[in-house]
Amino acid sequence: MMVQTPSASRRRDLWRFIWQIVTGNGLLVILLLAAAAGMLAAAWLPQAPTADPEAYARWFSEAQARFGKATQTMQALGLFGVARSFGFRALLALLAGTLLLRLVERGDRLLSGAARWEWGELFPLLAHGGGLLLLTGLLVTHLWSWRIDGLIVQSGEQLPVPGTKSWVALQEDASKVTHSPGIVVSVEALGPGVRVSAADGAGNALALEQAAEADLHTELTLALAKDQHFAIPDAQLIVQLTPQNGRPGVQGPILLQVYHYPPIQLETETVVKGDAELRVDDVTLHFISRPYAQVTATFNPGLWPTGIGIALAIAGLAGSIVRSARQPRTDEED
Amino acid sequence: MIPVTPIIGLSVGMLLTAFGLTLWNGFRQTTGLDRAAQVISWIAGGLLLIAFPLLWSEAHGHYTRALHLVLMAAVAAPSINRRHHFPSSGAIRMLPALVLSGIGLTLVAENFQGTHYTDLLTLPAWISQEGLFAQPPTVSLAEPSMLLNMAFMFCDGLVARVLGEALGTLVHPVATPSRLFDALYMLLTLLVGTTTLTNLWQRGMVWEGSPAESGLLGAWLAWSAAWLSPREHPRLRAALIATATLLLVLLALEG
Repeated sequence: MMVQTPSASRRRDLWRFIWQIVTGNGLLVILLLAAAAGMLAAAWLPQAPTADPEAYARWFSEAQARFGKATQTMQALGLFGVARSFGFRALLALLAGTLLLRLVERGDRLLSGAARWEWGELFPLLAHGGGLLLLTGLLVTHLWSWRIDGLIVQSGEQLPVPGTKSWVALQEDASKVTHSPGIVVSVEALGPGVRVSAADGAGNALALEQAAEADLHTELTLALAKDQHFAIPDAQLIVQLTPQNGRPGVQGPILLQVYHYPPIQLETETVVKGDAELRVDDVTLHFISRPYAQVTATFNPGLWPTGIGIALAIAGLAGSIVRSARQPRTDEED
Repeated sequence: MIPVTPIIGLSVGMLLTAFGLTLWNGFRQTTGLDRAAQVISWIAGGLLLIAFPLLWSEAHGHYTRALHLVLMAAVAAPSINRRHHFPSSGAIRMLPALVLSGIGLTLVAENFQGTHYTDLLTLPAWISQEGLFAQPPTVSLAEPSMLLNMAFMFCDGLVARVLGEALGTLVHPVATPSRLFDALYMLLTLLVGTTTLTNLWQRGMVWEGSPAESGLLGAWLAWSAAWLSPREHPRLRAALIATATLLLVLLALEG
C-alpha cells in the first residue's frame, strides 16, 4: 500500500482547488461580466473606423471634441476599438479555455460514473460545446476572412472582386444579385445608372472622356451613386448627370446638364428616366438605363462552425434554462 | 379628445400612494394596508394601459420614447405579491414602475404647452435630447414593425418587473426573483441567437459592430452572468440581476 507524504497531499489539494476554481461558475461569471463590460463600452463609446482614413480623421476630431484630454488615455486603453483590443481578445481566449475545461469536467463526471446520466445533462454539454465552437468559428473568421465594402456592380455586368477569384453580378433587370460560390454578398444600395454613347451628325461614334488624361472610350457605363460627368472632346461638350434626390429607385429620374466649352456655359438641361436620347447641336447622346447595386462581399471560412455553434448554444441554453426553472425551490415565488 | 397627461399623472400619483402605503405598512403592520396598495397599483397599471392608446393616437401612430415608457410602466406597475414578509421590499419592487411612469409623464408634459412639469425633474441627457414625438415618422401601428415594437415594449415592462424584484431581494434576501427572470433570459437568448444567425446568413459575419448590436450582446452577457450566479448567495445574485436588467432598460430606452 502506498502512503502519501503530507507535502504530496497538499500539492494535490492545491491542484484540486485550482481545478475547482477554473471549472466553477464563479470564474465564468467574472469572465462573462468582463466581456459584457467590454461590449457595453463598445456600444456607448464611438469606435474608431479602421478601413477609411477620412472617416478615421472625422471620428478622431469628434472624439477629441467630446472627451478632450482623456482621448489619448482612452485610446491607449483600447476603449475606442474594444473588439480589436488585446485585452478583449485575451478575455475571449480565457472564456474559450474555461468552456473547454468545464466541458472536460462535465464529460469526465458522466463517463466516470460520478454523475448519473440523464437526458437533461445533455443541455449543459450542448451549451458549452456550442459556445466553444462559436469562439473557434470567430477565431477562424478573424484569421482568414475578408470583406470588401462599397463594390458597385451595374446590371448585366459581372464584376471580379478585387484581389480574389470571386465575382459578383447584377441581372439585366437589376432584380437579383448573383455571385460565385463561397462568398456572401449583401446589397447596401440600389440606384440608377446609365450606359452612354454619343454620335455626330453623320452617325460616327464620338470618343468620351471621364476625367482629364483618362482613356477615351466610345461607350461609358456610369453608376449614379453620386454626380457623374464626362466630356466629348471632339464636340467640346461636358455632360453632367445628377440623380434626383429624394426619389430613390433603380429607374429614378436623372438630371442631365450639357455644357459647351470654352468658356463653359450651359447648353441645355433636362430630366430623363430610363432609356433616353438627347440631341445637342448635331451631337446625339444615347442613354441606356443600367441600374447599379452597391454591395458588400464577404468570405468567411468560419461561417459554418460559428452558425452551428450558435444553434447548439441556443439549444443547450434553452434546455438548461427550462431544466433549472423546473427544479423545485423552497423560497418564496411570485 | 381625452387629455392624456392627467391620466398618466393620476397613475403616477396612485403608484406613489401604493408605494407610500406599502412602506407605511412596514412600520405599522396595519391589516389590509398591503392589499389596498396592491389594488391601487393594479388601478395605476390599468390607467397607464388606457393612456397608451391615447398617447399613441396623439403621436399619430409613431413610436416614441414616452409610449415606450408608459407601456413599460403599465406592465411593471401591478403588484402581485401574495405574501409580504418585509413590506419595505414590496415598496422597493414598485420603484421601477414609479420611475418609468414619472419620466414618461415628464416627457408627455414637455410636449403640451402651458405645462410646467419639466421644472420638476431634470432628465438625463439620453432621454431629454429627443422629445416626445422626435422619432422619424415612418412607422404606423398597422405595420408589423410597430407590433414588433409593442412586443419589445411589453418585454421591457417585464424586465422592469424583474428589476423591481431584484431590488426587493437586495433589501430582503428572502424574496427571491421569480421565474420571470428565467423566462426573459430565454427570450433574450433566442433574440440574440436569431439576430446573430440572421447576420451570419445575410452578411457573412456574426457581428457588424453597430452600437445597438454591441449593447444587445453586452446585455445578454450580463444576463448570462446573472443567471449563472450562485443561488445560495441571493444578494449577490439579485445585484447581478438588477445590474443586467437596468442595462437592458437603459438600452431599450436609448433605442
